[in-house]
Amino acid sequence: MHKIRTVLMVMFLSLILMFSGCDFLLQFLPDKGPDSVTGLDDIEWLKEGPVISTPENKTTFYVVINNNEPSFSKDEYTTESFKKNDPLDSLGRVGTATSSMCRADMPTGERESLDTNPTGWVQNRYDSALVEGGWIYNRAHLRGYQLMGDQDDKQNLMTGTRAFNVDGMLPFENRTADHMKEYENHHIMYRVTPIFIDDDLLARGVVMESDCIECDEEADYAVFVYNIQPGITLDYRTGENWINEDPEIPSVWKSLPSGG
Amino acid sequence: MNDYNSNMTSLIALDDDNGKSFLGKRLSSDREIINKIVTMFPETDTDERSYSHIREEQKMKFRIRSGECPAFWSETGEIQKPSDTLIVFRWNRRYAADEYYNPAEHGWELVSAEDFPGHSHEKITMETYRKSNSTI
Repeated sequence: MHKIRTVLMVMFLSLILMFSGCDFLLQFLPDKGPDSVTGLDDIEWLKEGPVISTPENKTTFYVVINNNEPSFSKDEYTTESFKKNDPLDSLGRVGTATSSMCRADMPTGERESLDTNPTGWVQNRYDSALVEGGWIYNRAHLRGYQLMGDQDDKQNLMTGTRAFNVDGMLPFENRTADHMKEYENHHIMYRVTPIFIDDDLLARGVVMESDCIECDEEADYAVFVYNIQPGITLDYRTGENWINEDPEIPSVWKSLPSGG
Repeated sequence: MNDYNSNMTSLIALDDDNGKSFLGKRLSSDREIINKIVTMFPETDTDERSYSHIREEQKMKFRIRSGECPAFWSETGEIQKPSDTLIVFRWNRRYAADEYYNPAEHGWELVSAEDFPGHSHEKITMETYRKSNSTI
């Protein structure tokens, strides 16, 4: 599992290092240098932030990666249920959550309240018209409670915006969960990898990979979900956040670049 | 001739945001939808992929694009033209989708809604629409 996390991190970080390693998004701008923040305006979805217009005018908080193919190795596939979370790193940041799961692993008990404050936890309250529910941050499960019953495990929780958790991760997680419920004899390989840049305490987002061993339908996907909140600027170095005052400047990734 | 007096019913499934598919695949599935369809129609047309997901003992109630059935079921929201009735099985869940279909924007008027329990979904709502005077 550590090897896979390393491979994934190398894939992302090697692209970052190609542009002097300061900004994850610059992998989408091969001709732009690390100082060309305004160059991000050249690409529509970067100008808007990772928000993609659809015919329904919906906000999309993800991008499909690797042609929607999860990258589990052959040796990793197993129908024997397990769950594993990498230990926190030297900065206390959460690592990869991996599992093989089926209907029998889904929780039957009550969901408990969460007390862990993951890295980057700088909680603020906003008008509910701007942030649903008011609070900017959720304690976001990497492997969702509805899948295997994970509760207040600090190795499975990250600081995620409300939008990231509810509009980004949850719609994908629901596909996996409901497939497990419908097909009791199917097994799902599942992995969530948070992506941090440099010493940032707030993750830029997560890679979500889900792969049904027995079929190739709604529980199969590979996406990167952005940790963003429209209308709010996030400082990924610390988790601090504030209202984006200037509507002309994309609010979502405004606090680029990361690091010192 | 009114193209919408065709007595054809299109059957699709949508999530709370009118999402119908993701990268060409269905958003979810529930055997109770098929159970409902077989009680409503003597035979139902469908597409190849949707047919492949139907349990063997129910496949005799479905045909692949025969053009001779009064209804067409599509897991990914394919609407048959002309149809004068649209039935939407609403998941009452939100799923990641990249293709959407808003019945109201396509001239459909909601005439009835009925809830029933799903196998893997707590509640599925069967919404029945009829064509207004708008064109598709």
